[in-house]
Amino acid sequence: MSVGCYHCGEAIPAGADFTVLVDGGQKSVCCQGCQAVAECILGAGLDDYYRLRSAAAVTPSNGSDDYSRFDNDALIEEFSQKDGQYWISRFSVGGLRCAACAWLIEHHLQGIDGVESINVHLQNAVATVTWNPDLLKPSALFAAFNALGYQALPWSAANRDVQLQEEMDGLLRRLGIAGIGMMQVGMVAIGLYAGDFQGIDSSTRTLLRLFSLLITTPVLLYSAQPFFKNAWRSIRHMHLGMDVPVSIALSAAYIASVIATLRQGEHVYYDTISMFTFFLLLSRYLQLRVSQYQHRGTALPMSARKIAQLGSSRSEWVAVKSLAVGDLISVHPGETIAVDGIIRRGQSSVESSAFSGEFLPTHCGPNDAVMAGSSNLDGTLEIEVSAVAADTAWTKITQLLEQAQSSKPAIAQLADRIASHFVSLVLLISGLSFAYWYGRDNGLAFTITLSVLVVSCPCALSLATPASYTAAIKSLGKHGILLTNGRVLEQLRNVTHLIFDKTGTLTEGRPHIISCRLFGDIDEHTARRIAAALEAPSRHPIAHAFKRKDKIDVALNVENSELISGAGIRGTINGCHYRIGSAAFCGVAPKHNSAHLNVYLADEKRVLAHFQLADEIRRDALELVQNVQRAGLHIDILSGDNSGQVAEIAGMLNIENYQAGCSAAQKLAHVKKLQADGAIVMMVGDGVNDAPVIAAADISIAMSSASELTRTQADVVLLDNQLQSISTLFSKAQQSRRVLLQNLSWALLYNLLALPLAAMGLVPPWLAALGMSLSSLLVVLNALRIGASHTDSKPRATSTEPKEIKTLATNGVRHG
Amino acid sequence: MASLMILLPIALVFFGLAIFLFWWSVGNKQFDDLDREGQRILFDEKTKPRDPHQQPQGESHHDA
Repeated sequence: MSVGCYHCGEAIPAGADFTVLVDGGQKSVCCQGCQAVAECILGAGLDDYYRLRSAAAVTPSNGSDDYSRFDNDALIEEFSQKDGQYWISRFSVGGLRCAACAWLIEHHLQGIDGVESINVHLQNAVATVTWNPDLLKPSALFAAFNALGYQALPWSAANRDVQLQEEMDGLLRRLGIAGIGMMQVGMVAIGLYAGDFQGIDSSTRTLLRLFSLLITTPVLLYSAQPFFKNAWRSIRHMHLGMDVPVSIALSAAYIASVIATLRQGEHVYYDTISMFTFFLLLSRYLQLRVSQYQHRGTALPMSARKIAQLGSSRSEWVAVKSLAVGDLISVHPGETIAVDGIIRRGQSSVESSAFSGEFLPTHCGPNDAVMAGSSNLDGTLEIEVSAVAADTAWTKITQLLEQAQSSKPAIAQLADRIASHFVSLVLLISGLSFAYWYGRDNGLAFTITLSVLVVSCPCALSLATPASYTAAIKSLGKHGILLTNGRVLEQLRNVTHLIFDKTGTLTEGRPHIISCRLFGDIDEHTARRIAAALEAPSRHPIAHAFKRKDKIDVALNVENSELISGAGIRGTINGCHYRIGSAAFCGVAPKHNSAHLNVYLADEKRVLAHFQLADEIRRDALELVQNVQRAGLHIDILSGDNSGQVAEIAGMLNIENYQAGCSAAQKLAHVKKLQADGAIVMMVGDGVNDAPVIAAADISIAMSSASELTRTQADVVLLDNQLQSISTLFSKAQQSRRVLLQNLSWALLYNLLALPLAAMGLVPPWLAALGMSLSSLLVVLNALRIGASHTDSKPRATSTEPKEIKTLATNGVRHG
Repeated sequence: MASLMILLPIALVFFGLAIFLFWWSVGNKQFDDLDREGQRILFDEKTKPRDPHQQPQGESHHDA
């Protein structure tokens, strides 16, 4: 059948015969898991899901998990809080794709007795459930998520999430007040401007001004508070940032307006104050919102099977927190190891890609150390706890990262550098003009000094940077590129070296079959079918290469399947015994010096086939490498991989500099050395062991498939895992820089022209106010061009252009 | 002038009201998940005490 699975959209294997009944018609699904989930959804009358979803579902895993481990009060408290007779629990939900998923979960769980209310947060993929412990067991909640095909895990907000949320809420409140205030004051301002031209009697004017004053006061005191706080902080640190001139201008404009209101003065600036505050807050809010996406997902399991003695079959689920050093835990295949420990019994392949980025698992046996966060693939392990939850390597790396993050030197933004010069200049000129006019006309001196301060309001100047950054960040977001700070855009232009960590960046990070050699009278098709059938129960990455859906049609039935960890799989098909696995396991003399992974298939008597597997190069890798090399950048590969594969991939992509078998320290040393030679390094990586390097690199990029720790550390996250996005990033950065420089030049020009005129007392107040508003508006509109235009994705096709603008701009600053 | 004396206080009241409502809605977590809320209107809301007999009927109407 050519149509995909009704539930998950995957191709349906020819042998499969699973259907569900939809509106009286039969629809095919690809597997038992999809069938169960689809029946559950349809049975509950939630078939709206299938009509309204915008993305196909994730194929559900088949096996049902044992959720009874969550029926433990100590554990519930870790992700729940008590509210009267109810628990309010939070779950992180895996497989959430669109709003229809959220709707489906809410409606299904709402129908369960004991669930009081449920709310699914789509952005964070977190479900908040209020439930009654008298009517419902926690395991039933997890099972309910699973029945719909989603994986739920306990979730508790990390400190930084709570902080971020509070900051967002606070900023949103300030933004709202500034926005509402801006509308009210703006409305009245129309009347006042009209009065300036047509004539207005002074009592009406005073009334309108008093009204504006009443509304602007909370905007200034509450909404603009962050600017004043930041300005005060930067003054104390003797570093004049952009917030200083902003605060000076805001307070000067406010004081001038109050005086004008009381003394029947010429002009008031209430509208400018509230509009300026609103625009500045808006760009801050939008930038902060982006960083929310970074903090997703959970890391370590919260419960573990504790056993009393080695080899004991009796185990009980306990909270990881309650484990002490020396306790024994049992870890089954497919589970994630929750603590650091030493294997005391059992053998298994342990995959620690989260740490090393290496997709191939290592084979571990008794007395080997394992780290929390690694996953146990194919054997049951009994582990003696060597470090409690708070001391695991995982936690330590997290702490290290947070330290590295906070100590990462912030490169002063261009606008900030201009700002510090600008502030001194403004203060100097207003001081001079006060002294000059004080000698001539006592009364006029104060008014003119105020108007100098107001005219110098660097609205446009201070909006230029955030407006362009916000527009660029938003437009990149549409291309699946997540920028965590605008600094990257400025720095990107200087990059000289692009360094790749091979696994998972240049390659797909999973092996595929590149060749198949046959021995005897077996054809390739049959060999692959047998291999796929044998590998079916395995979770090993190699097994996935055989299990590609499009390569097999009819699944064979395997009996007596036995999985030998670190060696291979044995099983019986149609009465014939087969083995698949390493050379030694299949009785072949091992071949050395092969860059590839070798897997053999054998029956009782002889070897049938020899498969060579290798990691697949990403489809867009070559194009990117060529683009980047054309733009004159150096490309390096630093890989932890020790096999010949690194050399081969470097050869295929035409990359001259590569180093295989690097430890994290060596990678770091390499980057440091390049930086010492004056290079600006951009690093693309994905494993946690890359984290130190990523922290050290000037710009770091992580794929969204990277581990959570690496993602939070990176400056850029590529959401759709396309390497081509890096090219888009380059071209967008170039464009946004061009717009930024235009904005800055224009704003500086305006301010530098207005300043001397105001000091001479030549600028009428209404012109000053109009100029301020118009210059800001121009800057915002210009920045919007970044999002609107569609650029081609060739990086730096015109590399001379930005340099010209750069010299222009620096000249401009020097003149100022 | 007289009309302004009435209209301006009314505008002030609306200003206060708008701020109060906005304040409340932020506290009520209505701005937390902007991806979701935009699409919520597309989905039917069924309230909790559901009559199992009514569901199949409700669905057959959706096909239209």
